[in-house]
Amino acid sequence: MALTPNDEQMLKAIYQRLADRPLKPDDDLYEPIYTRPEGEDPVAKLKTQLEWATVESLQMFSGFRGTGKTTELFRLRRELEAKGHLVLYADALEYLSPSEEIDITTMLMGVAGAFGEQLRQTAGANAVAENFWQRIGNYLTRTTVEVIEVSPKVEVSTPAKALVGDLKAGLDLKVALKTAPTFRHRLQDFLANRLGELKKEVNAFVEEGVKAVRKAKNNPDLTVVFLFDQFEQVRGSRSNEQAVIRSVERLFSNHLELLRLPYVHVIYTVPPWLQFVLPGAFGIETLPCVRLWNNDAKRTRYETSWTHLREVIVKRFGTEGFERIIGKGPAGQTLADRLIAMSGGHFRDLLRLFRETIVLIQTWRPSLPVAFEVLERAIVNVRNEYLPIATEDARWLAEIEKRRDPALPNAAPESIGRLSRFLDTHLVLYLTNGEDWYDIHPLIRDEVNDLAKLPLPKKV
Amino acid sequence: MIATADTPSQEFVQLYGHGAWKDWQRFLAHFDLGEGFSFLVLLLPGAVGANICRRQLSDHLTAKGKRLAELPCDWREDARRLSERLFTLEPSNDLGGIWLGTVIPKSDPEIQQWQDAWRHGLASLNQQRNPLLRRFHCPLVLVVAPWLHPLLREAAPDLWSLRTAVVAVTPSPEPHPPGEVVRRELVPFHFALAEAASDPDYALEQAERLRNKSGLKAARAQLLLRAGNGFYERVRFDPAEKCFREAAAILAALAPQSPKFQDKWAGALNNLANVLSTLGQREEALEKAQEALRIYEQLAKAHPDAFLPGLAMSCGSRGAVLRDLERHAEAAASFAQGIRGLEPLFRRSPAAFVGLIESLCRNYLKAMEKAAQHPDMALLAPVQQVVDKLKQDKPEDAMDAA
Repeated sequence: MALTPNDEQMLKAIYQRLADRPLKPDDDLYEPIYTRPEGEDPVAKLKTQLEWATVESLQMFSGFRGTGKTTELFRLRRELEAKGHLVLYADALEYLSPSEEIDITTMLMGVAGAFGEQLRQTAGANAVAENFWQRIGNYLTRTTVEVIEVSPKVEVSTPAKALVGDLKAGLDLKVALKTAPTFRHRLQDFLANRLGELKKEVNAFVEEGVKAVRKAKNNPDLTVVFLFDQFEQVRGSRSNEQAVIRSVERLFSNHLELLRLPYVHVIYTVPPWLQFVLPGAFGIETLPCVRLWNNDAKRTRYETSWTHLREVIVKRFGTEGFERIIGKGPAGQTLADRLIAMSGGHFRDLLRLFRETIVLIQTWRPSLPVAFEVLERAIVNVRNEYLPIATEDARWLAEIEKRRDPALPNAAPESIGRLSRFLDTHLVLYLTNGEDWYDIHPLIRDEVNDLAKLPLPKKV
Repeated sequence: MIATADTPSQEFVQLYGHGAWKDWQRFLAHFDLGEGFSFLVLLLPGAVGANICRRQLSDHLTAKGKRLAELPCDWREDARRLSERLFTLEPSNDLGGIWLGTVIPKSDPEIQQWQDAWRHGLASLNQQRNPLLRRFHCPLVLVVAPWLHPLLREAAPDLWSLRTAVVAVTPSPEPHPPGEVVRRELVPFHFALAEAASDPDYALEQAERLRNKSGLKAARAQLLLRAGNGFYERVRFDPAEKCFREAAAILAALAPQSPKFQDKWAGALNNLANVLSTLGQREEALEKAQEALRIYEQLAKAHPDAFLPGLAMSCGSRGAVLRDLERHAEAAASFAQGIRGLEPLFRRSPAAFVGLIESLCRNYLKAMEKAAQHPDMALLAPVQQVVDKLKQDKPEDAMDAA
């Protein structure tokens, strides 16, 4: 049947509801996939560990792009706030440069600065008088001047002198930390032997802040939680990616304990590849893709997840819209399942496939309910976004498919970077059913198998 | 009956065909259906099509009371500073879309530097993903050639992950009905003869004003070439043919005066051959291509350095016409002649001629395949050696030196 003006309105409204954006847990479109009784809920695990730890804790949270990390962090925040906890949320990228190597001094200052700003913002400036940037600025000025006075001739005073110059010039520490590599290097040089002192300053600042806010809220048992989000995006650019990966690895392997904050439950979002380079060093709660199949040779269907994803889609379409556009009863379900299967359980791809279908109905086959060929065309269009795949990559991907693990040849940063890119671009999916496993995206299975059979091109 | 293209939509169909038109409609639908920020990637085979698409999108938005902000990347520095430039753009209520990018063909002699510049620019933009989402409430369209697609995925994974759609406009592979004009892949074309007019009708009008004025024939021919190139870019082959035909006639009369006019005459014939072949008038096209070739052969005998590139280009044009006539073995021989002729110059200045020689080689291989013959490796190997060396050497140094 051809499209009526009402149909066109409906298509437009549904297209907009299929938009990909982080949802707040109270959003009408939010579907609590991970909170189902039969599923594993990484957020619930974070919450439980946090509550069991009572005084303070340090946890890592991770997930590949588009799995809903930020949405789930919002849910954690809401659940913790509902219990009366004070939850501070900071975007790491406002404090740290995502393209530069990171060291412990920069990280500590970034974390403490973010904590201070969010505390003042959430609890009010009256409750928390001191600004971290002023405090650390005073500390640096005091210490550098002392160093220069005590040892004016020794070479070690050079970074101190330069730092004093920067500070006297009224340098904005927060901005400089993120955007001025020269300043950062001076700071790193200067603080290299004073890490203990810096940590003491940070601890003192955080502790005073917690005390002040508990006092202001008249609640000495107030639980303070600090979510340091987006840190996983510190990954460098192609030219320095390996160096940045190494620096993040060093940070967590050598200085993990320094990243704890007194009286605060800290949750860092970290890059998922950390579990490959530091296996067993610490636990990371990683958000998986929705598992549509079991980890067996035939990929037998895991029906529960199909039901969930159908509900996600019906919520976006509305029951009336779903029946009008996709179809009623088993016929509609069969069509929807075709796209769900091709999404690999990945939210963004699920939304993208249905959105592409809407666009094709509007521009290619303007009739309802949707024809099967439209779905197939939508699949082809979205699949094309993943192509081309290099033959060398296809071989690795085929190995992942066969073994259902990362098939990482070694822990070299180059290999980690490549695997990380597979996961980030959803060529590889991370899944779990109690134990972790991996598989390749259904959209690329045929292509990968064809390419993997080809001989590698000769290197020129 | 030849269709002329007076609107961007006609131009689009003439350039890419009806199948690609559906792709384009699919792209435009995101502007009709969506609200707020979206990230659209538009992959186009060439700059001519990009120009048409840009104008059409602009018209589409104007009809909605919105405007299209344009941030072309005509220079490598533009691509490198992608993020910085984007953030200088002030968002406003009437902003309906942002057109970011320029289509650089893979055959560009400086492709390596372009890739580096884009990689840098996209990586910077990737780091600004969240501020980008906060700042702009309209679609951001990244307009690039298909070679940039994998690079985008690698250099800007966060941004890529948020893509709304990637629309690749590919010329329709289906056969075209008789009489319908569809341009094929660009054949060697003498744009160097004259810049393509941004308003070819105006250039033609100016040429008309010089008609019958003594002493201004060369100027008139130049205006006609400019108009012809402009029409060609806009897929208006009918007026393009008229312009080239008239320019060729004027230049033929001027040719005895100087090699400069002979060069232009040959170039005009070459372009005329291309247009005629596109319009399906292949016998006449072949005749003109051979005439152009004959002139260049004479010129190159006296001044090889100056005219060998023109000769090679003419061989390419003749080869393309022969290919359209399905005389594949002869087409291959013509492309081979061009490769042979250009090779000594290519050895001396590889960066300057790599685009032309690669195009000739590609066309030669295709023609040999169609003719069911094995390519002559003795012909291709020396070229490949220079291409390999060019890629191995520090590309910046090699290109800059050139």
